[in-house]
Amino acid sequence: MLTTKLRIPRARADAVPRQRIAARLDSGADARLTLVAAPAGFGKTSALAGWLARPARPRPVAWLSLDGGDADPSVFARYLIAAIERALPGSTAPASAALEAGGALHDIVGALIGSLDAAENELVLVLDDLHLVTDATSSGTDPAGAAVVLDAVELLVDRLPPGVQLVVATRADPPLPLARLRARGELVELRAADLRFTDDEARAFLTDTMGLDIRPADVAALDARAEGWIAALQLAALTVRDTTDPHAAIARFAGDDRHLVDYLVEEVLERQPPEVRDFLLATAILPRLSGDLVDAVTGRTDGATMLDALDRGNLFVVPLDDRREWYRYHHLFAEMLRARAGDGEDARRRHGRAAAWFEGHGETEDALHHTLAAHDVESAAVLLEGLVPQLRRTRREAAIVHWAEALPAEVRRAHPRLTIGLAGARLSTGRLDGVEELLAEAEREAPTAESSAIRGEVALFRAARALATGDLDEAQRQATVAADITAADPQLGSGPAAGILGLVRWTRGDLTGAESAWRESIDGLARSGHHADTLGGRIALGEILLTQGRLGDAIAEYRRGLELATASAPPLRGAADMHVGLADALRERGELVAAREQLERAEALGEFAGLPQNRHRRRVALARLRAAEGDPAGALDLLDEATPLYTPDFFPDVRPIAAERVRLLLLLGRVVDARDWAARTEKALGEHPAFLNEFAASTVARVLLSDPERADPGAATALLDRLDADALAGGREGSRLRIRVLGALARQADGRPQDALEYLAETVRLSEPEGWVQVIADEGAPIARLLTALAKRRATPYLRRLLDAATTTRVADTGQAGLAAPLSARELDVLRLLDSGLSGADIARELSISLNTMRSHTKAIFVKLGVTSRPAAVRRASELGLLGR
Amino acid sequence: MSSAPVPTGYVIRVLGRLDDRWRDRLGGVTLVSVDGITTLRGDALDQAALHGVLTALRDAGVTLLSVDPVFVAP
Repeated sequence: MLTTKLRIPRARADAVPRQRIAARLDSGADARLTLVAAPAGFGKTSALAGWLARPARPRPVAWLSLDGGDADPSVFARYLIAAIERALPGSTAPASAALEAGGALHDIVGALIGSLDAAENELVLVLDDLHLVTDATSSGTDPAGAAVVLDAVELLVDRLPPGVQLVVATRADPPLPLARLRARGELVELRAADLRFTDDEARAFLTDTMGLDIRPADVAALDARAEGWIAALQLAALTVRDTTDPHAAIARFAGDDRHLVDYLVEEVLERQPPEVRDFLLATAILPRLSGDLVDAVTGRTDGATMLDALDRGNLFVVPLDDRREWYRYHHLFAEMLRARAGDGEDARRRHGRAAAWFEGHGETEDALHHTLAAHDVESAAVLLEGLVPQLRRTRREAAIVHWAEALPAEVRRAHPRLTIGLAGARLSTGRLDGVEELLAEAEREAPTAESSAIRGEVALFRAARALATGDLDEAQRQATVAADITAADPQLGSGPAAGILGLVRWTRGDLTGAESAWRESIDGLARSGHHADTLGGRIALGEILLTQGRLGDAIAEYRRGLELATASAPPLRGAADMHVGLADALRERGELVAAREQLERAEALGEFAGLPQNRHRRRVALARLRAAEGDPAGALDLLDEATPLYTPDFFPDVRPIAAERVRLLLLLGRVVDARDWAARTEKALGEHPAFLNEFAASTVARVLLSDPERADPGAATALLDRLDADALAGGREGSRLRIRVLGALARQADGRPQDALEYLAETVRLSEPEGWVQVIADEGAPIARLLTALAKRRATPYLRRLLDAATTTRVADTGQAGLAAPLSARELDVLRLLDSGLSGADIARELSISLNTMRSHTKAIFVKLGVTSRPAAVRRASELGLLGR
Repeated sequence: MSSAPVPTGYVIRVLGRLDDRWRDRLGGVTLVSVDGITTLRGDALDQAALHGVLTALRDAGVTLLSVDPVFVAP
């Protein structure tokens, strides 16, 4: 992290005051975007620095000087968060969590906007040099990444919180809807015509700032030629200052037709002593300069003195920190210097020395950049190889691909680990083509000493690739090969290979084998120190244990995972998943209050405390809980919310959301929809539904039972009995319970009450030891009748508990009597507005309360109504007749 | 459907005399300066190269006057 990018550039004490510019920038406080767009050398950055340096600065300032590297969304996210955190400490926690969780830039920026909005923070956010990102959309390391960054800037513009002023400085208009903003008066612009010096400003600049003693006619002549172009005026002043005859110098260049800055840089350079000229040309390749770094590049020892002298002499260096350690050249000046320095042998040698310095200071990415500029591809390959693990950790796979592909193939080939890194980066970005060729190449080129370790990694990636293409046999074969080799590798360990084996076995329905593979994977990952990664394995394990009917073991496993995940602060990513898993298992036990509490904790941790899959998993778990609480409509809403969020991973989709919806559709009387689903699904199931189709098949049986047009309890019984036999053979005692409850109802519907009773009695004997409740009780009244009959024979406490759970109507009676605590008058006001289309901010305005007060009212309403979302609150309120209609 | 021919290169006119150093910098263009206006001609500039040249000119603060297509028969 380069903190120099976050520093507000220092305004020169003797700068020309520019009230006009400052006033215009001030007027941007109420706009969505303040755009400073002008060519190089028009003083964009200086104008902003001067504006922000005023003593009565009303708002904190977050400054970000962009460069080409910010075209990478994760790099941009990191700097943007840091810039805002610097201005408003403590305001970026959710965004940071999102970043650490590998969230998309869009979500990270969304989180930043949310935090700034919620805290009603005031802020000026400056993005300087945005053209460096815009340029990368056509020619950068990652054009797609640059486009993502620009989308994020557009999101900032669209949803800019009221207290925030967004300022963008650029040489090229960004691809934002400027015309629309302009038409709505939401854009404040400063363009070249606004920025160029007026005659008065030019005079003040030349005489006061640059200290020239020249005649008014010369000032006019100079400015007529420069046309207010500030960089040109500054260069001209430098030229004139060092001459004995200013009048002649001004006359000379006023009459010259060369590109002004080109000409003036030449003039300025010519007037410098040779050591200064050489210094400037030698160091122009450096994006930033410190005394130590430039000494390494020039082979001299006067770097720090020289930089200080350049700064004092107004020679286009910009200090980047307060200690005068780091500087950069003014961009336009640096470009002119580089054009003169060329890219010959000398320049390459200097790049090589810069690379060595950066490498020695642990700044590998800068080292890599200069090594490539030095055309030293061999060293670049070594550097990149070392950089791959870090780039992978920070999810910058696009950068790995870009750099690795920039190297000549024969160079890359000589570095098999780099080749593997490229293959892995391609895999993770979904580009499967060519991956096998790269892996084969890495294997072939592996040096003897490393060949075993490399074969292990290659096998691991082959297994992952096979899994991605659905080739289970190959995935299993490669994972087995990998497991044998990587177990001895302290970095990798046996964890990843065992995990892939676990996935393969699970997908095939071999639960016992899957369980032992996952346990080995979790142990292996823990041994090699990858604790956060064990949480993903625990989700798989929990699911498998539930399918096996081992409810107690599943609860214990989630609790252990939770302990591990919350032992650190902030909690490990995956902590929310553990809460969700535990909630789902507790719900099965009938502990609905405890389950709700776990889900609330998961939600409070935020979307990014979970793995990507938790976005849909949490909603599905909440839907099941809602349904158990007697709110099938609310449950269906949640499943519909979860559907587009479904994030496929390599886990087998044993309970598809589409099938889960069907039970709710039937409860809500939407038989036609359920029938449509069943008709579509039945065909795909075949005569003997495999393990993966088990849940869908039992749901088809449910439709056969409930659909009055198709009611076929005989067929349903046959299908369910087949499923039960398969589940028994596969050791899926948990699945059996769900199947057999339906089996009992099917027998009842088939006119065999005695069979139904016996069948249910046997099922209850299976479910009792582990304390399953909801899988039976969720069937409501029909199952309650059978349970009542069973209880007449022998009323055990467990049966009474099942009966209780199946008969309790959890939807409270009408009116406020059903509420834990009555709503206050103000809360009722808020509640009625929640039923409107107004946004939170609008409601607050309507009631003349602050957004925070409005939020605490909303929270109280949710608690009292026992809901967690606005639509649910409105629905519940209307059920209770609280909305007054 | 008739299709307009695709240019094989471009002629770019800018304000100010650019010296020969620019030829190396911009790669593949010839420069001619007359009366304070420089004409850059690249007979084989594709779209990406054209944008590269335009960006380099922009970054040097050069004022652009015109960009015209060149059609060179193969």
